[in-house]
Amino acid sequence: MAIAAIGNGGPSIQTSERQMVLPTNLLTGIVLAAVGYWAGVQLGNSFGFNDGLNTGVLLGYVFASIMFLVGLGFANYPLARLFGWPVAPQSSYDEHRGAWRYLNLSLDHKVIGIQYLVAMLMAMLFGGIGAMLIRTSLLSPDQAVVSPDNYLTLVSMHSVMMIFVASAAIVGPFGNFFVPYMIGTNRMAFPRIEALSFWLVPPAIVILLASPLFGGFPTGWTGYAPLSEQAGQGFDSYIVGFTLIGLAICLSGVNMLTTVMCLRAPGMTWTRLPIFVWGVFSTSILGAFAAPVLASALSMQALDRTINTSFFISSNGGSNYLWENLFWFFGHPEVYIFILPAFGIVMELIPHFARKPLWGYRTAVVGLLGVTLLSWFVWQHHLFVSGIAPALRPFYMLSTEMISIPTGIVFLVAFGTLWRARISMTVPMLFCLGFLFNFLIGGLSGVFLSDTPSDVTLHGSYFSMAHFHYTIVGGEIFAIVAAIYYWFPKMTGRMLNMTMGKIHFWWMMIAFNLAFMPLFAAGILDMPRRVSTYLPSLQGLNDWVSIWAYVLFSSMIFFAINVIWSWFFNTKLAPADPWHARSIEWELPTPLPARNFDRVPTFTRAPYDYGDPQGARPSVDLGPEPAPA
Amino acid sequence: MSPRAYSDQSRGMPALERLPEWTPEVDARLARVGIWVWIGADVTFFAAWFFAFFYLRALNNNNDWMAAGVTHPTRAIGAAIFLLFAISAGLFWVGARSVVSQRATALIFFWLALAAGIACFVVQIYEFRNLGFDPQMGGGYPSVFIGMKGAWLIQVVGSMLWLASNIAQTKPNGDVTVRPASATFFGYFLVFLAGIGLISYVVLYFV
Repeated sequence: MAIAAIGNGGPSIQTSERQMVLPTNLLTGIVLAAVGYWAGVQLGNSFGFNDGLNTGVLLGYVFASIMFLVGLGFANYPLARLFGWPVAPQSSYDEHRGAWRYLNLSLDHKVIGIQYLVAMLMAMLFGGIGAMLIRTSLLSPDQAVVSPDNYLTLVSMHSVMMIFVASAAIVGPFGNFFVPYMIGTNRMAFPRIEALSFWLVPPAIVILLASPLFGGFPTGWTGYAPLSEQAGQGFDSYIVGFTLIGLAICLSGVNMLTTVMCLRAPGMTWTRLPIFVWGVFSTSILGAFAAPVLASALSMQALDRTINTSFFISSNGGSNYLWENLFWFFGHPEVYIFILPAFGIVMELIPHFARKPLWGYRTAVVGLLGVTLLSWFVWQHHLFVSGIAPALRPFYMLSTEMISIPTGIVFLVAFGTLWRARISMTVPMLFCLGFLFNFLIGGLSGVFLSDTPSDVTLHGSYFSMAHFHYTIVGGEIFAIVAAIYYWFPKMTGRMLNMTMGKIHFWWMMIAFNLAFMPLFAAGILDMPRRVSTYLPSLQGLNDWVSIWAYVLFSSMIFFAINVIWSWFFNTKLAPADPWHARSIEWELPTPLPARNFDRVPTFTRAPYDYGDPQGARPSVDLGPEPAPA
Repeated sequence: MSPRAYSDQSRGMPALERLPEWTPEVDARLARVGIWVWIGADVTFFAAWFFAFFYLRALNNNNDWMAAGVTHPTRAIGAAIFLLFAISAGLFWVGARSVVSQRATALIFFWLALAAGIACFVVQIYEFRNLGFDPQMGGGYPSVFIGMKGAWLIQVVGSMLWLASNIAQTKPNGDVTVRPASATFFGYFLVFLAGIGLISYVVLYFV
C-alpha cells in the first residue's frame, strides 16, 4: 500500500489533503495572515499586561505566520491525519508547470531550491539597499541623512536581513536543489519539512521589514540586553523574524542530515560524497543543534517583554550576560553556518575547472568537520570586552585561534588542487579564486580579533566590521555568486551571459576590496561601529568607501540584469554539461526531468577523477534506457 | 494493490525498483534517524533553559534569584505532572510495539496515553494558576520556572495532538497501521520529553 500509493504520477500533494475548507494557495495564505495578525493583536491587547503592547504585536506576528502557513496548505496533512482521512506518502516531484508552482506549496526539492534562490536574492537586495543608505548617511561626519535613532534601525535591519541571507543562501537554494542529485535520490527525507523550512522565510522577511512601522530597533543583529529590554515594539520584529529563521535553519538541518545519512544511492559511500555535500552536511550539524538555543533565548526575550519575567534584567535577578552567552552559543556556530557550505562550493568547483582530482579529499572532510567541532568552543571570544572572567580568556583565545587550523586545511586542499593544474578561467572559477583571496584576508584579520589584547582595542571598531564583511561578502557571497554562475544552467535550463559574468567579477572584486580594505584603517583610527557620526578627519576615507560601496552595489545590479535577462529572455537552451564536469548533476539532461532518476543510480567512482586514465565516464550507472511506453 | 499495477506509468519498470525509498524499510530508517536528530536538536533547546537556571542561580544578581515571597511550588503537584506524562509516554511506547500484531490492544494503550497526557496538561495549568508567585515579583527563579515549564508544556501539547492523530490513523489501512515505524519512533520522542520532565522536576523543585 505504501509503495503502490505513490506510483500514480499525480500532483505533489494528495487530493485528500489539498482540498479542505478553503483552496490552499499563496493568496489564501496572505489573506489568512492578515486575519491572523488582527486576531493576534486583539488577543494580546485583551490581556491588559503592562507590556507596552508588545504582547499584541508579538501574538499578531505569530498568528500571522501560522495562518500564512495554514493558507498555503501546511495544515492539511496534520489535519487529515487527525481526522483519520487517508494520507499517503507523498510523491516528491512536481509535474505542475509554469511560474505558479513557485508561488505555492510544492514538495519538489527542485522547486524549493528555486524558491529559495529567488527569495534570497530579493532579501539580499533589501539588505543591500540598507547598506547603501548607511553609506549615504556616512558621507558626512556629523550631518547624517537619517537621525541617529533611525541610523541604528537601519544598521540593525541591514545586519539582520543579511544574516538571514547568509544563513540560508547556500543550503537553501543549492543544498535543496543538488544534494538529492548528488547522493542519487529522488527526494529529501522529509519533503514537507523541506517546504516548511522555505516558507518560514518569507514571513520572517516581511516581519523584519515591518519593524520601522513600530519604531525600529537599535540593537544590531546581536539583540543585546538591556537595549532589547528598552526597545519599543519594533524589536518584536527581531524576536519573531529571527525565531522563524532559526526554526527554518533547524528544520533544514534535521532534514539534510537525515537525507544524507539515509538516502544515499548504492555506491555513494561516505568517501565518495561530493565535497559540497560534506559542506552542507557539516553546516546542517551546526544548524540543527545550534539554532534551538537561539529559539530558547528569543523565547526568554519574548517573556521578558510580555509577562515581565526577568531573564535579562540584572536588577531583578536576571543577567544581560545570560543573553550574550546564549546568543553567541548560537551565534558563533552560526558564522560557520555561513562559511562551511561556501567552502563546500569552492572545493566542489575548483577540481572541475582545474581538471584535477580534489587534492586531499579526506583531509578536506577532516577540515570541515574540524571547524564544525571547534565552533562549539569559541563563543566567549565575543565577550572579551563584556566583562568575561579573565581566567577564561586564554582558553577561548586559544580555541578560536585553533580553528584557523582546519580552516587552513581547506585552503591547503584548494591550493593543492590548483597546483600545476590546467586551470580554466571560467566565471565560476574566477569567483572561487576571488573567494580564496578575500577570505584569506578575512581569516587573517580574524586572528587579531581572537587575540584578547588586540580584540579589546579593535572589537567595537570598523576593524571588526571590515573583518566580518571580508568573510561574509568577500567569502560567502563570492561563493554564492560562483555557484549561481556554475549551476544556473542546470537549475533553469539557461546559461548566464559569461562576458557579462567576467565584467561582473572584476567589477565586484575591485569595488569590494576598495570599499572594505580601507575600513581596516578606519577601525585602527578608532572609528566606532554603529555610530552615525565620526571624526571629521575620517571624512575622506569614508567618502572613498561610500563611493566604492555604490560601485559594489551597482555590480550586483549588473549581475541581477544578467540573471533576469538570461532566465526570462534568453531562448537558447543550455547544454546538458557546459562545463564538461564529472559530477552526477551534469550527467542528466537539461532541462531536468520532473523525476530525478527513473532508476536507482549506482555510483561507481568518485566525482573528481579527472586525469585518471581509468576514470572515463560515467562515474555513475544510471541504468539501461527505459523501454518505450 | 500490487506495485506492478502502476508499471505503465513508470516507463516499463516496476514501481518497486523505481522508487525504493518508499519501502517500509527505508521509511523506518528515515523515521528512526530523523527522530534521533530531532531529539538531539531538542536537547540543545532545553539545554539553554537549564543553562539559564544554573547561570542565574549562581549569579544571584541583587540577591534576587528567589525574590522575597517566592518559594518552590508544591512538589507533589510537580511529581504528578511528571508522572502523568511519563505514564503517557510509557503507554504509547508499549502500544506502538503491538500496533501490527494487536491493533485493538494498541489502540487501547494509545487512548490511555492520550488521557494521561491530557491529565498532565490539566494539572500543569492548575499549577500555573496556583504557583504562589508570578513573574512580576522579579527574581530569576520565577522566570526560569515559568519559561522552562511553558516551553515543555507547548511540546507536550503538540505531542498530544500528534498522538491523537496516531489514534485516528490506527485503523485498517490507516497510516499508523501501514507505517508503524513512525509511531514507534514517535514513542522515542515522548520518552525523551518525559526525561526532560524528570530532570526539570528535580531541578526546579529540589535545587
